[in-house]
Amino acid sequence: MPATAQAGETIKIRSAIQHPMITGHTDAGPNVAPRKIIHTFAVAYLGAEVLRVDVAPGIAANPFFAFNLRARSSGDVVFTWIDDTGEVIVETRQLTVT
Amino acid sequence: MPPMMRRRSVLLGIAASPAIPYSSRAQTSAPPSTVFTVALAELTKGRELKSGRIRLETSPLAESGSSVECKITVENALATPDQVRTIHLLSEQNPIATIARFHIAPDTGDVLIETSIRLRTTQHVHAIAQMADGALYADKSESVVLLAACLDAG
Amino acid sequence: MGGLKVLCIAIVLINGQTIGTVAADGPFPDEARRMRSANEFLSPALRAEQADPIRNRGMLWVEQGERLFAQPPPPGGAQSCASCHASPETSMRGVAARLPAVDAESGQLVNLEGRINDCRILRQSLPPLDYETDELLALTAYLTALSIGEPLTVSIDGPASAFYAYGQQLWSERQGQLNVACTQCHDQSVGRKLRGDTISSAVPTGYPAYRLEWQTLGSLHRRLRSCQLGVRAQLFELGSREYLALELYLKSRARRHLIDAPALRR
Repeated sequence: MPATAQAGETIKIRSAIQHPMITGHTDAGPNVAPRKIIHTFAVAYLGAEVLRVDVAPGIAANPFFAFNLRARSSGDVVFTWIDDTGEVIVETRQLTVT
Repeated sequence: MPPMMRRRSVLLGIAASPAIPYSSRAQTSAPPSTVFTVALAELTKGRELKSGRIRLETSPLAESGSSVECKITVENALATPDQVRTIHLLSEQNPIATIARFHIAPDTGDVLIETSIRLRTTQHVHAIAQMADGALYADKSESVVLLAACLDAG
Repeated sequence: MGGLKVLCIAIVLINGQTIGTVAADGPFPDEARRMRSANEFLSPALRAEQADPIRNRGMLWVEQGERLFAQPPPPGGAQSCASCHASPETSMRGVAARLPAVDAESGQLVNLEGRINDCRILRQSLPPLDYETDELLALTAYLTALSIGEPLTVSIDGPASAFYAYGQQLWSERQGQLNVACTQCHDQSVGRKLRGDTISSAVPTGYPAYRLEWQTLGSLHRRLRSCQLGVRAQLFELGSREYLALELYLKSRARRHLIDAPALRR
């Protein structure tokens, strides 16, 4: 997704991913499914991690995260989600800084 | 392709968007749970929780506890020794107190985090910012939950 | 799989059309006027999220559906959806608005989910997808979103008339331990409060919809089942002739209301 920003400018990035975030809490009933959540969400910009989130079942299904990013120079913004089964989702977006 | 890497729908946007309006309201929550009290004690280790620098806003009236809007902001100047390292988001009434921990890179500048959280019932949510110099800043916000999370009527 | 790195912002198919309104003219002005769009019953916060392609969680399924529609079939499959339906943005536009409809060959009432599964069985040599699987919801959401802004135009004439009459009968019959008919809430009590929510006109243009309570996308049939659970009635099967007839009845009542799926619901 191409996006442009000026150097030094703070931009807002929003992300959402499809995931049921099964809590595994037993108070939901006797036949509760085992926990299956995205436990980590990380964002790297220009090769360095800018945000890492340790996620617990208290984050809503289909996790949404928005955060500020200070644009420095053009480069990739890399989003990584990791869930309890070891599934890793990586998405990369190019940020153009003028 | 690494063996575990699969496809999942993702939505990404880089843009400004209007803030969600919040307002303060009367207190209606139950006392904090033991789970929360223990988690908070483990986090603070006896340190003082200061006010200021961090602000937490949650939907004052949540239509569904399954997804409650939540916004954290932290004043965070560049190139100073007391920059924010980690923000802890804690629930007073959920079965697990910690909702998320946000680790912030140095020299990020002012922090904005938005997410959607699950709330079992009407309660206060706490955001605690841990600074590089060890100081802790805290804020809390109350959400009245109309329909509890953890329920599915089909 | 590296080449599959697509994905993007949500597909905004709104095309500048107003959402949740009624087409300006048409054959059923009175019918349309007394039906209130489901959006009128949404909170401002949910309405804003629904209109936002990143915050409308249903767009995650639309995007998945777009991918499934275009992807080559799995091993054993004959062809992809796109092999027959090229340029779905134009060729499939309006399809969701015309369904459910009576299939000429079988004489049965078939909705969009049924059409998708017919294609899978007859054209793609693939097993049918179960209701409420992410795959069927995704294809349904994608194809319905291709008709955003199109008015519902289901036919209730000819072979469809019997199904319509059956749907109308089910709508009017008291059922369950609470002994309540659909019409008592959704015609006679629209706008009144029930369990902290406002009773709507049951305009189905937003389905499949993402209900916060479900924490996922769900079909119109699942929504009908929720009402049956509420009145403690014996549940019909998802995809059953009963729910299909009710779907036709509801979409006929809401003719000229514009499709705005996937919607957000509480």
